[in-house]
Amino acid sequence: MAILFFQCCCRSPTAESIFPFILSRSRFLRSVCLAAAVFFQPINFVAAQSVGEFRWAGDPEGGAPFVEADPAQPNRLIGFDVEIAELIARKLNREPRFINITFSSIDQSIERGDAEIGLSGAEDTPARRAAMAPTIPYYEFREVLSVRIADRERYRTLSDLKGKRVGTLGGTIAYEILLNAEREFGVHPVSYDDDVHPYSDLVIGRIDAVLLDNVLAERRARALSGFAIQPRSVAVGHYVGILAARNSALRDQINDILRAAMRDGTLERIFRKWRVWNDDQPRLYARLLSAQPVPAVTGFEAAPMALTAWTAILRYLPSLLQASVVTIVLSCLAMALAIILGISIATGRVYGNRVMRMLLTGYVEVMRGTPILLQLFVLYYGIADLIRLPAFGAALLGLGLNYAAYESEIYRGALQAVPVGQLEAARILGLSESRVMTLVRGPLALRFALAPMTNDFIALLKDSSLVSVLTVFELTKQTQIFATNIGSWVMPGLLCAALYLAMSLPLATLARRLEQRWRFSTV
Amino acid sequence: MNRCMLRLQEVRLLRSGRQVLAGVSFDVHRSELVALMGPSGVGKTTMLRVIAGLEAFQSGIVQVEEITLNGANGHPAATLRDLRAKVGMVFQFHHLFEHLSVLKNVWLAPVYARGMAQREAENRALVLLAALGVEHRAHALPHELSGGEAQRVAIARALAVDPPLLLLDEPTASLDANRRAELRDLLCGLTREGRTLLVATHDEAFARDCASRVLRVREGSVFDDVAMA
Repeated sequence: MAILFFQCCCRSPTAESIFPFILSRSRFLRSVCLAAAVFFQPINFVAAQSVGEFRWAGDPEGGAPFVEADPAQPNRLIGFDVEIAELIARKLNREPRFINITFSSIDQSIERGDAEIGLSGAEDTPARRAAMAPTIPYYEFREVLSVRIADRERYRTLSDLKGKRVGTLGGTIAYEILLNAEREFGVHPVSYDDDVHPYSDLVIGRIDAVLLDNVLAERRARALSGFAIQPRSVAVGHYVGILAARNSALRDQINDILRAAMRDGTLERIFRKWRVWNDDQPRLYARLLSAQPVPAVTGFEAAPMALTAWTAILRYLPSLLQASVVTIVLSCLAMALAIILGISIATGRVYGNRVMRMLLTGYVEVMRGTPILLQLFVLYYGIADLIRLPAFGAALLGLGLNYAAYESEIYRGALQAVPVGQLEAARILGLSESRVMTLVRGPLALRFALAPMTNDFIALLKDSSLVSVLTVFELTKQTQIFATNIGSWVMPGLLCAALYLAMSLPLATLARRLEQRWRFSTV
Repeated sequence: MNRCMLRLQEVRLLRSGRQVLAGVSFDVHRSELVALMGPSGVGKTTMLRVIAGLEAFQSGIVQVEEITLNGANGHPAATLRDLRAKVGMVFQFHHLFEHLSVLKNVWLAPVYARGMAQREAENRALVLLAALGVEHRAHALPHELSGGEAQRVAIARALAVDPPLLLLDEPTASLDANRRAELRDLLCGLTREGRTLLVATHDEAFARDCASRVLRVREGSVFDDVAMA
């Protein structure tokens, strides 16, 4: 309940209008929720012991109309998946209990037993059919292309979008379609962590189109003007409940409940209430009730069902390597910016007058005292009306400005650690204060700062994963997609760790060597 | 020509409420080697630091040739700049720049403080190092030097900017008898070249052999001024 309460407080409409950049389906909240979920894990475990409970998992973060906090009563969940979960629980004579799981981790969480079923607009895919025990589809959706109104005639299909940026949610069928279109038509896929910002970025011109479920597109179209949904669908998919393969008996029971709800109109009532009922659903239900097969996806050849470890490595390694290049280039540039700014701030704090020292101290405290994710959101989304920074530029600036605050503290400490005798010796020789700084104090301070700087660079290398919220496609994001697609974190996690180590270990070794070379006694 | 190179008049310095210098007054003439003697903690090093402009004092006057440091008015930057063209100092613990080679320690100030061409400054540094017998250590780093070598490099560094007044703090403290004798000869040679030296030391033999005068210091003031034979 505490998790839910937190989520819901943040998602009230008033708050959302004030902080749209914070309150979207973003990793910021996701991280907080994950931490809270970990904290409350023992409670879930206790719940797992209770046979009268039906534990179902979903992601309420920007999860409308699937699972979301009720704006009128924030400690309560609403959405069509909530109602379907309640329906199933009622038919099973159990009490529904919601477990908060991030959208991209639902399969893994279900597999490890955090909940019995995942219901959060989860897509039916061949890979899921092979690895999990999904229910029968309960809703048919269409992957639709949204474009700016002015481009409605120009960009009708993916083939019209050669060289253009098309956004979607990472790790979804739509993302797979875009990867395919990249190879086929030269489209540039842009992966988002949420389903809100693709549309706002489309309207302000950061991207040229969005490919997502019609459910999401139509819902955004009701709240945001400036884009149009193309009538022709790119592919057809389905929402299913996801259970672990070992729970096939429960899955069969749930399938019976869903079929009954299709027959007696319960599902129709739920979907009508949420304004997502359309002519596709009766056709889907007719096929299901007459035991006709329903393919997971139509209009697109989805990823092969189950990949062997070796095939998975071969398939994803090139994109992981490509993402590693983004990570290392971004980290190096951001660190260079942080060093330049950090030195300037530290020098100002050591040599500057009182006003300058106060201003610089204020900068350091603000940057250190607020989350880096918040700073990234402000730079990319918050000030988009004033300055429309490109994603990579915002990421570089965000990381650089944040780390400059930490670097400046290292350099300030290092400058103050230089023995006074060295400075006096320089001054007595007639060197000006600026020469003392550049020829003696600075180089000596660098030796004190080297070890913590290396530490910070390695930390920055890892923190660069945060910029995926700005659609910068770096190593962790690519790994997440890899893991979601193959339904396991083991191989992607190992590969990702190996690549991060390959980037950070040489740096640590170089720093150790420099430290040894520069080691001396200072009196 | 005025014979007086350095004059201190009633210099008083309080540090954390404690009187470190209690009205110090003395003169040092050109080409003299004057020894400041007294037990540890009586204010010898502080006197050198005050003369070098490294420490502010509350009252009195320090005069180096035409440059005057006034305790009451503090030390303006321009005065300090002029002072440092006149005064060099060799610290007890040398304070060689630890990240620079011996050679660069010596040529750094001539280039960056006096505007000398680097090639010329390097040649001059090598001559100085050779004169002090440490030219073979030109490319060593300070932490690789012995105490005696570091002492001589510190002197070379101070001499590189050619100050007419050289202050030395306990120059013989870390030297054995042979090295002490060498240093004595070196410093006597410097006075013969016309340089003025003020040396804070405990070393009676050094004072007896080298100094033209010995100033005895007690509780922050000079209480005795003895001309040596």
